[in-house]
Amino acid sequence: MLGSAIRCWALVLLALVASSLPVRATPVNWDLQISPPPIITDSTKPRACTITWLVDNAATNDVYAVRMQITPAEDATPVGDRIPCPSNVPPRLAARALDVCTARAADPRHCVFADMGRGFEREPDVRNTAENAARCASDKFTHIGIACWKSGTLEVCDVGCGRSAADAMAEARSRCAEKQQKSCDIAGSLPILAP
Amino acid sequence: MQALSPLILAVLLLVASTAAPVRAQSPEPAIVPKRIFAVPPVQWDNSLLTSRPASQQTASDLANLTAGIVFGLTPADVNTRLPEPALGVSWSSLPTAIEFPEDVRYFWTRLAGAQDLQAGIASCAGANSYIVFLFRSRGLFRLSYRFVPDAACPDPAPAVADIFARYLQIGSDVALAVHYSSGGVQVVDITDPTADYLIPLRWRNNAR
Repeated sequence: MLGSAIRCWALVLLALVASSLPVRATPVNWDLQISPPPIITDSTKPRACTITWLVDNAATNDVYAVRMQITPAEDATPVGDRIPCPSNVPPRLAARALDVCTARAADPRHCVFADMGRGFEREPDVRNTAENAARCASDKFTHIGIACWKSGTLEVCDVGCGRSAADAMAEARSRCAEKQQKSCDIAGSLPILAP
Repeated sequence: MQALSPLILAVLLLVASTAAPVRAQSPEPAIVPKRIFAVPPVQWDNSLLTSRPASQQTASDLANLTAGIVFGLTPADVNTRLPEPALGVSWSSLPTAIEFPEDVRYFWTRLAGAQDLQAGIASCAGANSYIVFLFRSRGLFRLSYRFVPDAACPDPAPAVADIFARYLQIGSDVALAVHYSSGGVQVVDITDPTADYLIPLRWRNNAR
């Protein structure tokens, strides 16, 4: 009985002594020696759709590549490594592409889509060009090409799409030869996607 | 099986050789490279209603191409940024560019000595080619490259294309690059997009 009373008092004393000691905050070492993580870029992320138009200033023969990048929908599902492009392209995109030329032309009427019809050299007018054939989309192709023949100082051209620079140029040459009935030996190409 | 007589064999070979004449294949005509000028991409929203430049550019992007020459500088400021500044360049000392309906003044420098301003030119440009700096009272609003052909450089078109392509990297909201020709001189104008009604006004070469 006495022993248990002593133990009880001893515990109370210990508790009092412990509570009177100053409480020291132990410094915590938060430095876990972890270097900051590198910025991770997802190289496998599919590229957003780009539609590239070729427009032409018939007075100077300058051809502009106008790349229109389209922000993908949040639920867009890539096909392979590419985000599909819209099936319907509103005319405002083509008009905006043509603006790149008209802003730089002495006469806006000189600006046309670079896929030209037969007889363009006699009637160099935008109505004698094909807007939908002057563009290539990144979900189906990688390059856009152009091929031209020269009528005096005017270059008469057509456009082709391909899965390589050579392929796009060959496609453009073939289309130009067929439409113009000429050998279209002035040719070039560039990637649809911006670098 | 009886072997063909040498005579019949010879006749057959003769017929075969005449029936299928060997055509000399004409060589594929060489491709003349066609330059395509890429401009900065345009970013459209998902509904294809609104657009903006895909990358934001500023006057410093232009300055990187022009050794620090940007729109709004005074004639003296532009002059001091040239590799060989001329003496006594100031607004009051400059001649008037009469093709403009308001008080526009200019001075020029030879392209050959312009160092950074001729960067990117990979072929002949013509010894007499030059750059004109055009000012209104509030400062520089246009750089005008004039490519003059000569006997040593009868066609400066590749050099024109080099310069034009260089400035087309800059969006038209920062600097508007324009190419045209006037009286046998190829011109590349780099104009301040805020220069309003002066933008479409072009140089006319009255020398010819």
